Amino acid sequence: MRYWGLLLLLGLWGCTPRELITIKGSDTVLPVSQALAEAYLEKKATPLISVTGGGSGVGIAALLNGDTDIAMSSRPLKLAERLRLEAAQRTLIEDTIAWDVLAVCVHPQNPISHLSRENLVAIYTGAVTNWKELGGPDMPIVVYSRESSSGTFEFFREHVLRGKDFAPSVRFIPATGTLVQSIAQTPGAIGYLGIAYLNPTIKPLAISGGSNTPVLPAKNQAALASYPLARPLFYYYDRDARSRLAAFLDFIHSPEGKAVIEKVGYVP
Amino acid sequence: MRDKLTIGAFQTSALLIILTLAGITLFLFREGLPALTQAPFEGLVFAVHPENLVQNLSADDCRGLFQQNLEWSVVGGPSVPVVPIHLYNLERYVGNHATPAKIKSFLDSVARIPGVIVALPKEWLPASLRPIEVKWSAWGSLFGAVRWSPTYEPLPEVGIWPLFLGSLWVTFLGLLITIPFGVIMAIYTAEFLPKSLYYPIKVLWEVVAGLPSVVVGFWGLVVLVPWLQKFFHLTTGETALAAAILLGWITIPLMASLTEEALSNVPRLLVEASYGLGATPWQTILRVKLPAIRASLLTASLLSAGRILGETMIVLIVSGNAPVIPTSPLSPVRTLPATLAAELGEAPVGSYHYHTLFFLGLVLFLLTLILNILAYATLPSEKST
Repeated sequence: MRYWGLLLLLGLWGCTPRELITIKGSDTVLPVSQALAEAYLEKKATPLISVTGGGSGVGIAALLNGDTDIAMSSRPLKLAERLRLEAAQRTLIEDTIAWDVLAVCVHPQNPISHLSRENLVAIYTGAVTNWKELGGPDMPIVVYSRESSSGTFEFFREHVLRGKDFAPSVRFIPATGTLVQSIAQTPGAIGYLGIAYLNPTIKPLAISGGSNTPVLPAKNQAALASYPLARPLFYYYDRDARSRLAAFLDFIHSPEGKAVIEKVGYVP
Repeated sequence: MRDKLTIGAFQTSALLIILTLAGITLFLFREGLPALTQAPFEGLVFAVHPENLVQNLSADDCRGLFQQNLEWSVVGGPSVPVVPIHLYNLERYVGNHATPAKIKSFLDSVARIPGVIVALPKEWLPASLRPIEVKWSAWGSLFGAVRWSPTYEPLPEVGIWPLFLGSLWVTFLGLLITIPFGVIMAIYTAEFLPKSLYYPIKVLWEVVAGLPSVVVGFWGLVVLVPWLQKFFHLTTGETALAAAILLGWITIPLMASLTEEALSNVPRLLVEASYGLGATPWQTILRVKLPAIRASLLTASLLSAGRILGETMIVLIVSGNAPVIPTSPLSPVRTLPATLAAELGEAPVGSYHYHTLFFLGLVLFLLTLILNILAYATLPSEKST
């Protein structure tokens, strides 16, 4: 009986976890991180990689609090976040792992096929509430947005609304998967999401910025230049943690890693 | 000796539980109450061009200027276009990796624009600008406003009415489903269900009550929401009604088992007297048993209300989450718990947004507390039965 404690200790020692990398943050980067982690673990047994979503803000907050090794983010650090880091004397490394193209989507039966950035501002600030005002059918617009914790939300607010505020009637959806479902079953819907989530149940719109001709979102280098809603996706980590993460980070930038990124639907 | 040990163990664990609960409550108050004293722009100074004669601004007017929905002339300023600059839109002009020197020279150049208004940390404020006072009323912002936009910089909108009324509305609608169906289920199982089916049915209830709410919520989104949309010819079925139906449905087992317990406690004497007078079983239930458990029904309803009020995942998925004051069962709603779940993860610890969310938690806590106190106050005493 008195050896039980010893046995317990031995048992604990036996299952000491293998080295673990935790990655947390943006739902947009989540699928690519998962695919990369799986591909990496097929080749090497260590370190284990744990990937969780929640939104860019959640990941960056976790990194600042020391709860994750890597924060994945679909927006750059805000100037205010940078200043806070500087005050805490920490240096983060910003690693652009891929490019995402944001698709603005409607229900497949909606005849509207393109909108300008100004149209989007009018829709999301509530100045336009019916598709008929944009040349579509007489049908109220059901406006969807991601929750404010997502980097996609930040990107959209900054690059499309340019600081204007969302109308209170906008419906906020906590996850991209649910958003796709909502758009697919709502004839008057409009919403925005990362191109990797596109599927045939929803219809992407061509978008024009300024006086350019409208361009459909596409997963290639050309789209990055001509489409107004393309953005880099980042990994953030502490400079001091680099050596521990190096094997995985090198894999991401290898040809093999790039193939995985392309397969998920992003531009490496 | 052994008895003493057992009693001691029970006392210790009870004490631990009480202390933990007290700790959580204290934490809630400590993190929530600063929302009543703090302003969202602490550490920021608002300033305008020296030739601009505006002395002070209300928070609403100031927000209007920053959103460029308001002209300077409306608030007594010059007839020039508004140029708002603050910590969060700086990066639009100077880029995300700007050095402090570059930011400084940019700010010095905007300081020469007559229509400029800035919100900046004190150390960055160009010397030529004249600071103005922005009046922020904590109570007014929380209780006097009807918009919830807590991440808008530099002046968020944190009116809690849409969320508060959204929660009450969903709870009320949910009870309209829970109470009648719960009572019907209770009467059926207690009075008419064959003994051989009693336990299988009970187990089924427990399973329904124990379904993960995210499963119920997603089922609601994929099945119930499109159905409501077709049935009511709505633009979308993501409404208070969808949330209320699901919440009401998962709360039926709680309502039913509380009611059933009360039914089984109705004194035999009353029941037998009723039969003795020639009443049918149905008459006995309607005229004797249900009136006898009136008080217990109220208790059960209040406890069910508490359960519906606190549910998070289902409302987050099917209610549409738009922070508007609900006007009909077919309005979208955003409830207090759904807001906490969606936003708490990203609110920087100690920020105004963070304290405001805890304040919402506090409101939810007080609501639930009141419901539970009422539930116990209405609990029938031994004497009355």
